[in-house]
Amino acid sequence: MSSRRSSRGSISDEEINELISKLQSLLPNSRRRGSSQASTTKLLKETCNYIKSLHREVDDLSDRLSDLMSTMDHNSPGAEIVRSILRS
Amino acid sequence: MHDPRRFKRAFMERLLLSLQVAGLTSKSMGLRERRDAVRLSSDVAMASSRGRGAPWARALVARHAAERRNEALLRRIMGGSGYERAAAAAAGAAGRKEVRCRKIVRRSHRVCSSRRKRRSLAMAAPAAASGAMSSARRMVKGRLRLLRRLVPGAESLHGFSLLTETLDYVVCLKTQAAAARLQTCMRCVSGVHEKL
Repeated sequence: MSSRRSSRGSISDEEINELISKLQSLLPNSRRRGSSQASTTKLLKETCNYIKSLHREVDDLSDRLSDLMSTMDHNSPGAEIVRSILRS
Repeated sequence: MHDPRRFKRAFMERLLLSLQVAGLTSKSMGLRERRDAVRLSSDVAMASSRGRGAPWARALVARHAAERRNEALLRRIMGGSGYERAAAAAAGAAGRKEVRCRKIVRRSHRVCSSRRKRRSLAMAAPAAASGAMSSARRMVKGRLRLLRRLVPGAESLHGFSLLTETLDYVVCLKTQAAAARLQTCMRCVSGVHEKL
C-alpha cells in the first residue's frame, strides 16, 4: 500500500492499517486476513464488487418501490400507518 | 465519522418527504420517469443526510443536477438555492473534466514516446523480485482506478483520501440499501393488508 503525499502530510502505517481493517469489516463475509500486498489487492477488488452489488440492489429496490407507489392508495389508513412507522 | 443512527433516521425522513414531493402517486407518470424519480429521491436523501461536507455527497447530487430533465424535481426536493448549488457544482465538474481530458491526452502523447524508449532499455535486465513487486503494485493501482470510477466525485482522489472517502461512501450506501428495503417491505405489507 503506497503512502502517497496528501494534504495531511505523512500518514502513519497504523492509520493505513486501521483504515484497511475498517474497510475489511464493512464487507460481507469479512474474515481476519494478513496485511500482505496480495490481500490489499483482494480487499480493493471485493470493495469494488461490493459497491457494484449495492448499486444494483438499490436500483432493483427503486424499481420495486416505484411499482408499489404507482398502485398504492395514499390516503388509506394503511398508508398513514406506513408513514408513521417509517418516521419513528 | 458521523452517527449512523442519526444518519439512518434523517435519511428515512428525507426519503419519505422526497417521495411525497415527487408526486409519484400521479397515475399519469410514465414507468421510466417514476423509476428515475425514485432513484433520484433516494440519492438526494442519502446525500443531504450525509451533508455537504462529504465530496461524494456533493458529486452525487451534482450528477443528477447535470441532467436538465431533473431540474423541476430537484427544485421541489431541495429548494431553489439547493438546486442552484448543485447545478453550479455540476457545471464546474464538467468544465474541469474537459480540461483534464485535454491535459491527459497531451501528456500521454509525450509520455508514451519517452516511455517506449525507456522500456526498451529497461527490458535488458529486470530483477525477478522487483518484477513481481511492480506487477502487484500495478494491480493495486488498477483497483484504485476502478474505485475512483465507482465512488462519486472521487476521480481526483488518491491513496489515503480515496480510501477514507470509499469507507464513508460504502457505509452510507449500505444504509441506502437497507432503507430502500424497509420502505419497500412496509409498502408491500400495507398493500397486502388492504387487500385482505
